[in-house]
Amino acid sequence: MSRRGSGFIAAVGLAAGLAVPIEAQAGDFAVTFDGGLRTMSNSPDTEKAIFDGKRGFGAGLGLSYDRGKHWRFGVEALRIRRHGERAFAADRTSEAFRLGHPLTFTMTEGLASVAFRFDRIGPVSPYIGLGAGVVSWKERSDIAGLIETSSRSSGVFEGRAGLERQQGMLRLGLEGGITFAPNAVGVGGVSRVYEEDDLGGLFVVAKIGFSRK
Amino acid sequence: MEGLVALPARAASYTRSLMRARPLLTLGLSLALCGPGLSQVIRLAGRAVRADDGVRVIDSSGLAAVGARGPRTDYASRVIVQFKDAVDTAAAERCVGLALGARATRSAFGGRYVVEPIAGLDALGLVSRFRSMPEVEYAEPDGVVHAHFAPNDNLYNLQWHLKTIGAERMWDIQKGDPSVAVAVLDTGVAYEDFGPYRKAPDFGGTVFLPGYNVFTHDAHANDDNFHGTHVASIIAEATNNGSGASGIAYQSAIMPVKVLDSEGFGSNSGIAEGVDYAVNFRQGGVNPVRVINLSLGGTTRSQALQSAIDRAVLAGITVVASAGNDNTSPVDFPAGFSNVIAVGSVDGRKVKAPYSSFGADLDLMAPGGDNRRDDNGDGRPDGVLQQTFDPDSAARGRYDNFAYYFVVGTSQAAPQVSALAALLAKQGVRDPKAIQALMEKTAEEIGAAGRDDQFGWGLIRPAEALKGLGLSK
Repeated sequence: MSRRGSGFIAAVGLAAGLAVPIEAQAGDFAVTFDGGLRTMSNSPDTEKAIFDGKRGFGAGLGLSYDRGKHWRFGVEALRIRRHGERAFAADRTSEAFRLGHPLTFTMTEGLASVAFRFDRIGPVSPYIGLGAGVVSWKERSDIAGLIETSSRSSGVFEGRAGLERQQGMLRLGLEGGITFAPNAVGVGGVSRVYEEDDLGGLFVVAKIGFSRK
Repeated sequence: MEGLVALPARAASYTRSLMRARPLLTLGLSLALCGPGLSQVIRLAGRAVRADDGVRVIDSSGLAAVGARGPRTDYASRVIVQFKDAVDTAAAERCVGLALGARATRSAFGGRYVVEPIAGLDALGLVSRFRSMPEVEYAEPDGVVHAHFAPNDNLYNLQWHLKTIGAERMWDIQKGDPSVAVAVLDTGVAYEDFGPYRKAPDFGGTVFLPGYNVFTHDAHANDDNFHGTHVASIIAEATNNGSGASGIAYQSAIMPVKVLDSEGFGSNSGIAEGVDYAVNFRQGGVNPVRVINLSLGGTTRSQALQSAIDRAVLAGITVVASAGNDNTSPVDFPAGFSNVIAVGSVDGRKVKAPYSSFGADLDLMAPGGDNRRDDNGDGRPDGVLQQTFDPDSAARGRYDNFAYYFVVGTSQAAPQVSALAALLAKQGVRDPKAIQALMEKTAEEIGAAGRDDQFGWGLIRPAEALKGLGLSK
């Protein structure tokens, strides 16, 4: 994710966070935005070949609704942009060689999620959650001035766990988890050579949210 | 079979016999090492190509540099917006502001604007905003275009083989580098002025590494046949210098290694010696040789040569050899060794050349031509055109009668693959196995689907190979 993109989402999130509690009822709704490291660890060889081990940064915006003490339902949008290079590997056991052509890989996810919040432990509330949705990706390569693109959409699933602290209207959290996006790639390119088709992977993000209480 | 058609480099008129064929011992490379048969010398009279034969050239070297480094301006982030005729300038500029355009430039010829988005908004987002406005006739992302590099060498338009492999797009991506060298194990190369030998005129900008002569055991690998000079010219003849022909990896270095005598004969032991020289060469502590070209072959499998080639491949050197010119199966050795890229030949139609050997060990095809055809209709036989010297003069001890010759054979196809291997090495692919796989996976299928014995994996596509692979495409 570029700084400009992250800043834009953060600004929208902040604006929404400030606005929504006024319209929401009884503090059940919250707006959250998050940012953090996103990997493609479910396809480690592809990730290493294209991104050379560099992690991706993603930023997201979500709207959640707390039902009762424990349950939270939400919808989220997430955007991840990673920069790498085109590469080549002879076969799935071979070293990848990077060819120097810049490649930008952008993923946009839309998720519906449900989480269970446990009772407080000191100042924080632990929670676990699941999500499902759609991921749309776009690959853009610049080969000596000529641009090549490809794109596709597929399903995405997510499991997560985190800690959250509520301070008045402010909600701070740290969350980790894993995303699965099977059959998203693997029909061509390096992912096909390595026989990897999952765009998902481990992630760690920091969250900040705004609610009525 | 190996045929020649001469195009004099300097003489305005060339009046030797037309289409004269005869047995030729001085072109005995394929006779000696690829089996029996007669070679042909074919000369073309009255068709000399001169710098002033009607071709005019625009120097495109500056444009080529632009294409290679990519645009300075991020054109792809901009948007073209055409406002409807009734929309005046003030209204158009108001729309630009509402669409979150940061800066707009109006065309001098009407209501067409080029708009840059504000920070955080990409071109597609800006297009979407404009398209929702009734004042806008159309909006689209601005596209990036660039100049295609075409060398200004005056004989380039006769080098049909370069067009067949898509050389111009290839050069946009990679032209080679002196840090990557191709060892040409052949009859020598006309690369230096030494004794009776002269440097070929269109090697002016070509970088040569110290050579080796396995017959004299010294550093003077001069060509006394013609073959090695032609092969080296296919790889790295000086290009975009306004004269002569073009080479494929023309910024790569050439290491001349003489392993064949003046009649084109050599031995497996001599070739093994030449391979070992290339493998053990060091310059500044590193070996710049990344490719060995062997436009030669025989029917004898040699453990000594196989071992030498194994050492080369283990050292990260890609070894390329011609399949043979006997239209027989299997291909000759060393092409038949498993870790050697065996190269066959196609004509201008991308059809297997009638002489090209084939079989289970054949890996790739490249244009080697057929002098009996003129498929591109340029009035010339479809051989591979490069510089070398007159073999008849060479047989009389003169090695300075340079000209441009159409030569056909798998000997001419193999160096095209070697040149591509050098370009791939410069592009970052350092493993011979990966280089071979990349060329095979990106080859144009011209035979049966997948690999077949007539065409191997197909015709090389250098630009496709140099692109490598994306994450999913």
